[in-house]
Amino acid sequence: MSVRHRSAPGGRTRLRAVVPILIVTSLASLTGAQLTSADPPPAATTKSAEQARTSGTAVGVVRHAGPGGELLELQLPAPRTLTSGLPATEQARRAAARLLDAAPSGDLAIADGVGDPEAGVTISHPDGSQAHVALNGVAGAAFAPGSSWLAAVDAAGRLWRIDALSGSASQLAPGPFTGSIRFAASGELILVQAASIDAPFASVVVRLAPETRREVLVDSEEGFVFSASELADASIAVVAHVFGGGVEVRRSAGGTMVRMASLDPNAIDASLSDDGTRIAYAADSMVYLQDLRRGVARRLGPGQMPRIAHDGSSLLVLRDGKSVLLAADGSELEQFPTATVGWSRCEGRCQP
Amino acid sequence: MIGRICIGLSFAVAVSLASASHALATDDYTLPFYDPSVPLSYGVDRDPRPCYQRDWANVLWADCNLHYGRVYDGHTGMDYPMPVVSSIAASRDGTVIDLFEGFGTEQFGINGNYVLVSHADGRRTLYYHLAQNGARVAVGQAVLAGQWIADSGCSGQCYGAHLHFEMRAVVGGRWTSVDPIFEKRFTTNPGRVPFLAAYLRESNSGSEVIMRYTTVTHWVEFLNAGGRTWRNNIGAGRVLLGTWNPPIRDSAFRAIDWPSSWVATNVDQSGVAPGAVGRFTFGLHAESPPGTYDEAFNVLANSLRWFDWARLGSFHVPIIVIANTRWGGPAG
Ligand SMILES: [Zn+2]
Repeated sequence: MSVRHRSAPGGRTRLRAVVPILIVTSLASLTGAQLTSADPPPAATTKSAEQARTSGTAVGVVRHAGPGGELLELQLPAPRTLTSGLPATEQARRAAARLLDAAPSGDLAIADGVGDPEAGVTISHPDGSQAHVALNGVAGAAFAPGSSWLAAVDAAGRLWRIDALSGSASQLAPGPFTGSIRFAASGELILVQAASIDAPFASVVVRLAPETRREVLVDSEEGFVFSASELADASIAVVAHVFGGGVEVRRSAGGTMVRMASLDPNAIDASLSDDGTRIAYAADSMVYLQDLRRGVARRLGPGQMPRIAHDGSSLLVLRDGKSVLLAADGSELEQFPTATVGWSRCEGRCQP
Repeated sequence: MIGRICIGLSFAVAVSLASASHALATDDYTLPFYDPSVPLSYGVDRDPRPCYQRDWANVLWADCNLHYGRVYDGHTGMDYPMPVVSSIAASRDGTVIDLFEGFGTEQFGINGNYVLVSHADGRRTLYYHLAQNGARVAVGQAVLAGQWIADSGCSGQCYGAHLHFEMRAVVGGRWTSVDPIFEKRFTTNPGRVPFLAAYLRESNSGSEVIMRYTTVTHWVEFLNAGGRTWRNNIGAGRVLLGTWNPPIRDSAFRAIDWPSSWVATNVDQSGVAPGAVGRFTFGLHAESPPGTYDEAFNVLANSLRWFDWARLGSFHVPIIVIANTRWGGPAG
């Protein structure tokens, strides 16, 4: 975990203002208290649908059927993170990253703010009621199969089990883990463990069984693992910067890792289709779609944070703070006015 | 006599430096940036236990709070706040073994941009949270201490622009984060700011022949091989040419244009950017009797730090003083 280095005095305004260093000293005890509170389980609260409405935290959801699956467009309260002064692309990226996961049950996990050390996770239920957990700087989260609980990693890299109904949390493992967090069909977690959360450039992929808390190393190759996920055939795909080299996709096959493809050396935010045949990524603010069987990358134009459909037939990208749905050939299928659009796993059960 | 040190030094840091006297200073690494006013915001936590923190002054904090100027719980490096796209320097001679520069300069997330350098003592230094495409070096490239290797940023888990600088060593068979401040790998904080220069040419690379009681003009040019701009006014921290071997020695060849008895000149230009050439023009006046002399000079920056004389090209001027046939000498 890294801490803020310049803070604005007072209230909820923070992060970007430059003030004399001495003020940071006086704020340090404040932030320290928040860190301390994360060591015992973080505080959880619940709200009825009525309370969520009156307190302004209610989440509006519009469903869109698109090629590649159902899309959710979220109407969220204004982000708490003060993003003014950041480049527009970064402001949009932070806003868009707030939908963490959408469970088959219709529950939505939403981060209050990305880059906000005081952020937490809101779990919004289909009936409009909510649970909130004050998880310090949520790095990533995913609903467990069955949707009854959520696995989440905080800014210190700790792994928490969060009850979907109450928001109450208990620590599953100290980590440190990075923000890449996925459930395998078996119910095991696929996680990226780093030597240091301050600078997780040396990281490995592990499987963790939530019930026994047993960890198994999946991929130990020296490098900088960006993400790991299970494919439809139960193999594990890893996107990583190779030590001393570029970015590659590799896949576990019978206990050994096989290299699948090389991406642009600056590739970030890679997103794989469920069958592992297509990967979308961004590099230098351009979006690419690569066919992993043929190895050809197609440049789809400017954009950030591509998220590929489960079947790989289309992808969501951010452009100028808007969400755009692109076909595999780069043609624009649909445009949404907000950045808070994501793929659904609800299959029609999402609220309201 | 050399001078004023570190205006930006915080009180807490200054006090604690005095108490961290048990480690023997090696001073074999340098701070990884050029601005001497950059403070340390948080150092390495040398205690692996959660909510126990041992800082670089060997003070143990049995809490999980932030301690500005010292440490925060579990921190594996040193944080130096600085604006984005500040110049980052190699902390020691070495080889670049890895880098990534694809994240946005201020892209928040768990992962960020970095450069990793391997050193001859088996250690590695890591420069983290760098700018997008902010590496100024390539993998496999040899770098010198103080060489500009990257631009800082705020990529990764960063709540305010800073450099996360980390030193890693193999301890018990595993790569482990170590604390160069505690180990006195650099002894001032912020401190041993490197200045690098390389000899290019001079007005007369042979012996300067000076008729006794007269003055010749000499100039020498050095490439600014570091990452810091050289200045010639006191307010900005000037770079000057002073006597060497031994340093701050009164020169027998001081001319009327010398600022002092041991300073031949400040750098001619008002600013010499990294990669640019600085010229030092000065007079050499011979009062000494005819004979062969040798005058050594070194460059001094900010009244704080001498340049590495060997890397500077061991600059010296061989001088031959010849008798003045036109003038018998000063009256009396
Ligand atoms: Zn740090």
